[in-house]
Amino acid sequence: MTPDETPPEGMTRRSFLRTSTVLATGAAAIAAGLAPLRKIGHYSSVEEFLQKQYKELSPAEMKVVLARIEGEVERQYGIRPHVRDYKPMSGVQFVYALNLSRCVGCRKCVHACVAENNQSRNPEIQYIRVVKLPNDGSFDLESGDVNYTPKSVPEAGFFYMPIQCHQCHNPPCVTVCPVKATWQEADGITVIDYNWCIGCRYCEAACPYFARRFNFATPSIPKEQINPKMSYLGNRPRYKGVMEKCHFCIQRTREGRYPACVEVCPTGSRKFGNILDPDSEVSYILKNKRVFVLKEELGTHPRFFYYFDI
Amino acid sequence: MRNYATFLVRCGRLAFVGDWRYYTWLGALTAVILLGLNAYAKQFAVGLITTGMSDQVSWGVYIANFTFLVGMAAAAVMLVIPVHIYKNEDLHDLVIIGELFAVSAILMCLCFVTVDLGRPDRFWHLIPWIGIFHFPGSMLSWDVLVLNGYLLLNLHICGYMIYCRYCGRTPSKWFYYPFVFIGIIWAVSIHTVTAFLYVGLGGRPFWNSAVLGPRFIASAFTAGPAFIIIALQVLRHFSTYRVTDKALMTLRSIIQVAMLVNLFLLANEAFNEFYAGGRHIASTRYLFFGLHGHHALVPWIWTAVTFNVISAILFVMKASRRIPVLNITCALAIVGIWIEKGMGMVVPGFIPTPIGEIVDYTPSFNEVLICLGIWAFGFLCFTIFLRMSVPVLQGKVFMARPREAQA
Amino acid sequence: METERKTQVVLAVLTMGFAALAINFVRVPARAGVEKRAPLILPGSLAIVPGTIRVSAAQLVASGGDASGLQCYACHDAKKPPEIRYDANHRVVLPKEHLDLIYGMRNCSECHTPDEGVKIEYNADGVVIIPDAHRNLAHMAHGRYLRNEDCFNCHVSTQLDHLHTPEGLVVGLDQATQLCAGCHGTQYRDWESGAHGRRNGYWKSSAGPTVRQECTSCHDPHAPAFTPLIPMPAPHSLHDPRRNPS
Repeated sequence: MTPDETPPEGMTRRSFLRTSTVLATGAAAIAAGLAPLRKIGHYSSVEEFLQKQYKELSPAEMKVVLARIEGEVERQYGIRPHVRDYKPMSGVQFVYALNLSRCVGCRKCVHACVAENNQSRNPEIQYIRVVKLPNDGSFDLESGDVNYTPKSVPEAGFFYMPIQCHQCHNPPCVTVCPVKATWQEADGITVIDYNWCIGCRYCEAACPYFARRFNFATPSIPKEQINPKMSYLGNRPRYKGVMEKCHFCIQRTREGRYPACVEVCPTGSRKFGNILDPDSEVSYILKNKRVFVLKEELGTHPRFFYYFDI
Repeated sequence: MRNYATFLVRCGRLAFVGDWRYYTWLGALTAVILLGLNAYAKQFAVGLITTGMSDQVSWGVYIANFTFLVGMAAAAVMLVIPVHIYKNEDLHDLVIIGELFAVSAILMCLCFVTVDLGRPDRFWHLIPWIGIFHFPGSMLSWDVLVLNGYLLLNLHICGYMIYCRYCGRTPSKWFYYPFVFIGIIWAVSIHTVTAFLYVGLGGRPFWNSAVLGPRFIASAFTAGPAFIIIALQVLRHFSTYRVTDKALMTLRSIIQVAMLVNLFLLANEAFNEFYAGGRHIASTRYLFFGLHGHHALVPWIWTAVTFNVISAILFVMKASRRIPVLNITCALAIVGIWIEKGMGMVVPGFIPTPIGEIVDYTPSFNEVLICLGIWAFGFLCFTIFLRMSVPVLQGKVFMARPREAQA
Repeated sequence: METERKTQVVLAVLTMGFAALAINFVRVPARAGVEKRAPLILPGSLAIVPGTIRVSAAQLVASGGDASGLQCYACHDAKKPPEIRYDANHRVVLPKEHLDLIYGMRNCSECHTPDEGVKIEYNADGVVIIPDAHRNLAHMAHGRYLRNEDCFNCHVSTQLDHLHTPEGLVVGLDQATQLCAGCHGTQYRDWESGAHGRRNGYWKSSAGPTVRQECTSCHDPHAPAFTPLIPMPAPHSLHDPRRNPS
């Protein structure tokens, strides 16, 4: 007989009842504890769960995925969108230039971006952050203010610097992603596959420019403000628990158009184009203006340049 | 194979048997786990907005606890080294207890990482060949590898040793010695890799410091053995297992060195930051002195530093040879290092943001419940592991030998 | 025995405790975050100041609008003084023909009273004589330190709806850019390459048209500096107490 603490006669009826009562209560408590999961509603279909990463999808699979996404958006918002997979154009390297002498800090770019790219209104997600800095002989971001609300802009003695994803040549966010949900495409745009991201937020910690945003809850977009022209890697509505960021309005720029922020800027401070085209305005700016980048010492090589004119 | 199954079943049954104190302890832990589970269900349904995290401070108590517990797991090796390298036989069986502690800590780490994910249902994206595993580029992929490897390593060593004791066999050297030595190096690597998660981010000057890795190891080798000292005394009190004071004193001498190294590295960091100053020390200023009117963490860090200094002094004094003083000193060290390495390391890295914005972080009630639930789960695992393995180690539970079988 | 009793008590208490927890979990709903939340910024509050692009003479002409108001002598004649109309508050009612001409949105009644007779004086050649009062800082805002306040620096004195460049070229109001370029060469050079001024439409010219603006589309020639704008709302951080809890 092996000496341990199990009673030799095995389970008595009393001990069986006792044990099963406790176990049943325990199971009930666990089930009740998980009650909040009832509120999830539609979480994820089987196809969505098993979907492969963007770069591994064949064109036929991509078509199925796009149709599925259009169905999802229609179910959620009641409008039928048009979701396309825009491919990069060859011979194109995008560059963005921002004239700090002209920016007046009106934040029209911020809200044009929100409207164009179907960003969540509450919780509020904005890709562009405008930092108000004093004209006092230093360029210290720590003395900046993003929450300025004066009666009118520009305010005397200050200048304004909008910051969004710089689509760096050497992006730290791409290096740290454990599942390769974010990568840089051939035309220079760093993109995110919203169906592959696991939401670990390592990229958000790695970005030196505070460019990335996380969906802490299901995004809420007013139905009447949805932009139905969507791209897979760009402005289709995102999910709870995934990252997003500025993607140079992929659905516009890969058709040859300006991003929304460039279009709406009232003072013409924002310039965008193909640096490989010697006649583009960005080529002119990089050649003739004194441009600089933020945090150059980190070696990220941004393709977003700032300059002063006057 | 059948013997192994019987062994597992008997060990499993053991876990449900105990006296009223055992049931009270496990019952209370289970209640806390249930609260944590409910809180996590809420978080899963609604999203991470139920926590206090934001875009500005995107990692909080979950990752803070994760970082602390990886260190605790690594510290199990502190028992292994004296036994197998210095042949200190007093500690022999304690190695297994240390490794069971490491397994519990790693399980807690895995839980903390899972609750922090925005899409835990997509965890399969991390599995090599099935998903896309960004190795060796991403330090997180290294972390996944080394943590799971360490878990398997420890499970194997403990499992094998306990099963051999159950069978009455002497363990075969080849099945455990190589793993033990690999484990020593692996333990240091899990914590160094975790440190590299932070060190590798150039955009966060608070973390981008060469001394962070050594600080992690030094603080882990202080808090881990301190916890084991307390755990062994609890074990000694509630079971008939024999733990000599000499074992506790050996651990104490390890902590003496580790704590002093920890404080020395802190002093190095302070000099590095404050002597030349400049803009990149904004996070350090926020942590120690407050920044632009935000000083939420200042009392915490100074408490931690005070606790660490007091416990360092006590550890080197003869007074801590007395058990009650030793326990207080260990508790001070654990709490001090938990604050310093958890909230005092993770949160200041985000404040101010890389573009100068300051948004404070306070864990929400839901977040705290989940943390408590996972800690309770870890304690539950450790308790059950001990409940199962101690009788085997004491020789009270062993395989039926053929000549002793009843008719 | 004593221990057995204690164990029973503990198990009973635990069972009741778990049952209570279970009831509590089912009773208390999850945080109401899955329901719809109102937007933080109401669409009506988006302050877009009209006129960041003004309708310039060039655009008026190009769009085929009524440009008759720009031809001064169509209305004003040496022999025919104009009538000035006032509203109930004694403010001058600006004739629609002058709406695009009157710079800086000033109101004439700031200086002229209702019962004052305004006389336009002409010289011997029938050319308008610009009163001294209309030359000073209060009226003309072209230039930060030295005012470009002589109308005839830009306008042809005999043909007010035409401009003349420094080299003597006469251009219509819709070709004002050439005149601006004569003094503002650097801006003109940048404007030609696209670095100055708004660009809309397509960055890739082969894919579609790129729209650029004439100088006077953004800069009122009589007060070229941009008027201050009302900024759009500041960001709200995630746990901002101002968030609509709904």
